[in-house]
Amino acid sequence: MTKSKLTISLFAGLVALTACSSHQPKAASLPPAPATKAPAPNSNGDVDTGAVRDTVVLGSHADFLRQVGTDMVHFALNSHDLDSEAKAILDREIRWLKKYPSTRVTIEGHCDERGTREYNIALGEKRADAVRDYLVKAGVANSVNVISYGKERPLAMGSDEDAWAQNRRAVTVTPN
Amino acid sequence: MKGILGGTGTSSKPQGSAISGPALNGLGAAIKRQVQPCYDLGALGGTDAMRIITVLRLRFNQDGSVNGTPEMIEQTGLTSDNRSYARQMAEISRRAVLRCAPLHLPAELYKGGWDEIDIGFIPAQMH
Amino acid sequence: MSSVIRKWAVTALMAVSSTALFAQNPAAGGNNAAPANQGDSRRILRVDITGGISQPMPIAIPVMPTPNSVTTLAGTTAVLGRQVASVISNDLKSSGLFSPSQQASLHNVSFPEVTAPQYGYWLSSGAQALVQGFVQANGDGTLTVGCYLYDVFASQEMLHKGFVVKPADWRRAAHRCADAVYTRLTGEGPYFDSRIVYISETGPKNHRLKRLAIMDQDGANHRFLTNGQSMVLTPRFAPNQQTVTYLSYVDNAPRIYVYTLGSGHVRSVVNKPNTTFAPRFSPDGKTIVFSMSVAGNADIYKVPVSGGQATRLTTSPGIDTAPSFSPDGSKIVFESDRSGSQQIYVMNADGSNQNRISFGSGRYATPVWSPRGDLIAFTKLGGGFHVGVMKTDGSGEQILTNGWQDEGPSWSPNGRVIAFFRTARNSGHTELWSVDLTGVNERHIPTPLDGSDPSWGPLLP
Repeated sequence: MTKSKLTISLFAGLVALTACSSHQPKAASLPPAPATKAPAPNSNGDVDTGAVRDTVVLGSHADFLRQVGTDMVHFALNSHDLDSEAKAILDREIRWLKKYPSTRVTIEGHCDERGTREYNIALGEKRADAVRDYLVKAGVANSVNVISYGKERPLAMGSDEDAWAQNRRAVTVTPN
Repeated sequence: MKGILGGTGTSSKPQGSAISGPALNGLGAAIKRQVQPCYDLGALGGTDAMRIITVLRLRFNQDGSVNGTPEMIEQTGLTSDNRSYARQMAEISRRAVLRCAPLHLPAELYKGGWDEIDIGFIPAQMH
Repeated sequence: MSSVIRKWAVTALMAVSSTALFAQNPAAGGNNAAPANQGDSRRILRVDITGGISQPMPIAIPVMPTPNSVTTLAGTTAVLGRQVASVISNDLKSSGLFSPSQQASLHNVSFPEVTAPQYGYWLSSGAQALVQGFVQANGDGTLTVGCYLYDVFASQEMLHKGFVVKPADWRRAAHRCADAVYTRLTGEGPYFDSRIVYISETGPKNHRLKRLAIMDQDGANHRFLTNGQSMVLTPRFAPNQQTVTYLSYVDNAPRIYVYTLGSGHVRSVVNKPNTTFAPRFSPDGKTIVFSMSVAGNADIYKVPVSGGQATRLTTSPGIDTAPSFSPDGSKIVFESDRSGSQQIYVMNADGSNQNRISFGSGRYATPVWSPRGDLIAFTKLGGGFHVGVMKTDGSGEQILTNGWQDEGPSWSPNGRVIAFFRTARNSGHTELWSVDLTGVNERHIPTPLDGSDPSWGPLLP
């Protein structure tokens, strides 16, 4: 019992790791990652993930990451506009969400550190709301909650353009 | 008094007129040089108190020490923004003289010269 | 020089002549010492000293004696006499306006000497002002702290006060004495007997533990108010100091709350399914003004502290946040990016007459109205964050700090000093700092861990 549990979580961790490392958040100005690096969904939305496949529970967050390729979109400085790359990612999210309409979703909005605390809470909320708006307008039936963390939960730790670009993001959180 | 000034003969000459203009100028410069380093605005430097001008009347003993308590005869530049500093500015002016006393000034210019003087303390040029 | 005088005469709005600030000096016997303004028999030489220096004032604060050393709940009165003098010295030094002598180098003041200072000794020590006092245990278990201020050059007492406190509150007696001395010598209002509530931070940049904490203005009597399970931000003191309003992420929902200091009781303020943040009390303590995001759009609202209906004050499509009342409660200053970038606006307390007041280069955020009413402190963004002040019409902008990120100003009770927090590049470490209005006297406020979002409370009652 204990042993099998451990194995599963180890595999799940591996999936998450893989998904993460092949999808480092990029500056919004960079072009989309080459399709070969992403586990691009085929026409019926399935992906051949080889040996790991059986450990991913359908409808889980690991499954979401595998299908969508990422759980975050990025923004330009001081902006809450969704660019074409962000919309392409959200379109894949929509496809997944429509398959699991009872899954509750939270969109986290985040900012880089170059704004004051109060303003960034408002800006993060705008970013999260822009994502929710896009999902809802596309007709997802899921319950979509938003929360802004302002600049309080950076992903990249540095104080440089690359880190700031990674931190200006909205993250789609689905239950594990 | 006017009569005396305009009078003739033995009446004592009015004080002040005994000292020549150049001597007075030199005396003024010497007093300024000696008191200025002690005019320390401290906490009030840079505040609205800088607009307050304080004039003290001082009496000196012949050894250059201050005789009695300096008297404030005028304070100008007070506004609603700096009124709370008026007392402190007067004290800072008094402290400047007391700190730098005794003054070292020519004995021959004492009587009618620096036995009694007014010192105006002007913290800053206009902004 | 005379032209300067003339210019001054023009700008002088009021003139006071011959006030009785000093002990009147009866013309010393001399019947021939005619006043200058009585004719031309005696023209008194007038010398003008133009432009002074500005240095911290040398001040001596020797150990305070006790009539007889008694053991109290806070230690012996002899030890307390040393500690009280140290706290006063530290307060005055922290203002940047005084230069206290080393306590150990000063001679031991005897109890009778407290009211009869040895001016000659203090004159030779270089001190311009002298603070003496005593600590005495009373029969009812309280302490009396005597506090005397002397002008060393004038050989004159400037003030004397006595503070009766419980032994545990001995630091407050010291702060009150320091406040009395500071006020008497500077003409400014007091601020040392006050507290700061702030956010204590620790941990890596991407996972900071943030707790509400409170301490005396000098960092003493520190304690944590929340345990860090939920992230908390932007605490603000109520005018009566009994409560604090702040933002908490409890239950993963950022909302404003009111924390009661004695009991630790916490209650929600606005009952809405929206994010509420940036709360601040009105000067009468009856209203909280805050931001609420509805469909992503942050506007400013106000709500009675007791709860009830929130009133919307702004309707711009931009981000309106960081509201702060004027001390008379008639106006609210806030930031808005409705023009395309963050700028400072002032409106009436009912939301009418919204006018932009900041027009310098760069962005402006977190405006806070001074308790004196004359200035607005803010964070300026552009090439880093800096704390500055401007007049309430937006003129007279002055930048006071120069850190990488200096943010979140909060006024001292006398409107003369501003607390803020400074974030370090890369590491994200935060520290509390203060700066006075000259921008010269900057000091670090010690905290056990990192600190941010200081809110300086009013003077303690």
